[in-house]
Amino acid sequence: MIKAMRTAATGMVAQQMNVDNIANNLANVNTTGFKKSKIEFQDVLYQNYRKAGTTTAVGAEVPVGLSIGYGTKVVASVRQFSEGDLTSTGNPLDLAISGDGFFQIQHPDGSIAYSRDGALKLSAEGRVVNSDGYFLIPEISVPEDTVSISVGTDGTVEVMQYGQDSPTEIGQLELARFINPSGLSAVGRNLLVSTGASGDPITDIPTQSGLGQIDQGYLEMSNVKVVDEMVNMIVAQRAYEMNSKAIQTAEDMAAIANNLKR
Amino acid sequence: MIKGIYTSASGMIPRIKQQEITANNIANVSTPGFKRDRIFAKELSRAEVKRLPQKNDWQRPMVNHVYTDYNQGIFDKTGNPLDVAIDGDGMFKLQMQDGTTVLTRSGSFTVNRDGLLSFPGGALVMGESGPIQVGSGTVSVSQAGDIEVDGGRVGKLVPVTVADLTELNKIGGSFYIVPEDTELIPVEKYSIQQGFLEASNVDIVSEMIDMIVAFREYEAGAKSIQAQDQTLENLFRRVGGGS
Repeated sequence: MIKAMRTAATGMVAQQMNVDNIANNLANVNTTGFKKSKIEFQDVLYQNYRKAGTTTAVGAEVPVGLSIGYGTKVVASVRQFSEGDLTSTGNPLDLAISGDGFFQIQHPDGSIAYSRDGALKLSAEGRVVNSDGYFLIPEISVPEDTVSISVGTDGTVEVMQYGQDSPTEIGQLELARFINPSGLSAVGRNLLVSTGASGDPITDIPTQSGLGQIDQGYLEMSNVKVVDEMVNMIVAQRAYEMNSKAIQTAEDMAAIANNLKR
Repeated sequence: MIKGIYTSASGMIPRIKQQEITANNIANVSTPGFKRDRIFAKELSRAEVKRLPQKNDWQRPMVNHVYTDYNQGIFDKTGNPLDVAIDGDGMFKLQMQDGTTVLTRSGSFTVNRDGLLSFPGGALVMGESGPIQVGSGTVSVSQAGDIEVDGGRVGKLVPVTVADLTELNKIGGSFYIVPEDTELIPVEKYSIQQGFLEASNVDIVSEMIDMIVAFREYEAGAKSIQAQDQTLENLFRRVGGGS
């Protein structure tokens, strides 16, 4: 009796987590380079009351056992790295990656984080940084007398300096990719960090090793599809409701048992 | 009279089990590849009761067992290249870290840090010839189950089944465990769908109906006990001449 309540409660907890995740996806519908994630469910332990193949009191072999499950659990939130739409901004330091690569960003604590957000800026010293002012790796510094910056699809950065008639190459972008990008852990601020599950980063210049090319003047939008999320939310809400009904029913049954004795 | 109370009570117990199973089915309405459980409750025939070793009335009247409904669930499009669903019979074969072979209908795979196709939680997906090395390339899965990474064939997913599905036991984690010495048979007719997950085959309407029916049957059992209790009370009052 109590077990049915706990079983249904696992369903409610899991659906609540599902809604939390959907809410985060929806909140990031306009976040540059955001990758939606999806909650994955699994069933949990089964209690075996009777095992198939054992002998009953009547002497017959039990053809099918009696085992009852304990509900569901959330096992993973899987980030989906499908590409978001590119939007043209015309800003020379807005870069989008068409492919599997990530920009490498140096976290203030010195560690390297990875990002799909290519809305880059210049620091006061002319270094290329992300919107939070974290340095892009490898380091690229733009000279003071720069008139225009151009980034090739292969990541070569060239600048036109004042008074010159041909561009000067000032650096080369490098991207990173992972065997299992779903294993990356999100730390906020559009940054992901590598974990044991993601494997070590494979770094190379764009267009090599399947990293994809750089599109200058574009930003990658969030890959969240509002309609999908709304449908998921409705499904999650209804499932939550159903589970609460199962708890109510179990509770009513307990009340009846309790009232047997007048 | 008292025996009637026992009979009514033993009719109530399978309904509790039914409710527990319904609760588990509903809790797993979002679990990919989940197969709903159904309960069979059956009253013993008189002949069967006679063959029973004499026990008290309490343990007698009902036997029940659970069976799993292996009907296919609908396919949800996820667009994730590592999500695969089997259209047809059979299950994916996985190997747990301790070497145990388990089966699953949930094809929400991922790649582990060694580049092997695996199940969330670490079990390895076993292809036709062992683990499948997919690395970090672009994965495509044909309907026949051939897996290609960047154009090169790396393995083949072949759904397997057993001769008698009732031999499979659910152990949680979307896994089914195969009893020892049971032969795994490759399925012949199937089609693998990449980018889809098979949804749970729990049908909310029938679960709700089961829940209502079980609840009312349970209630009826309780009412029957109360009626007999009342009759007994009347009896004692009249015979005993009490208040």
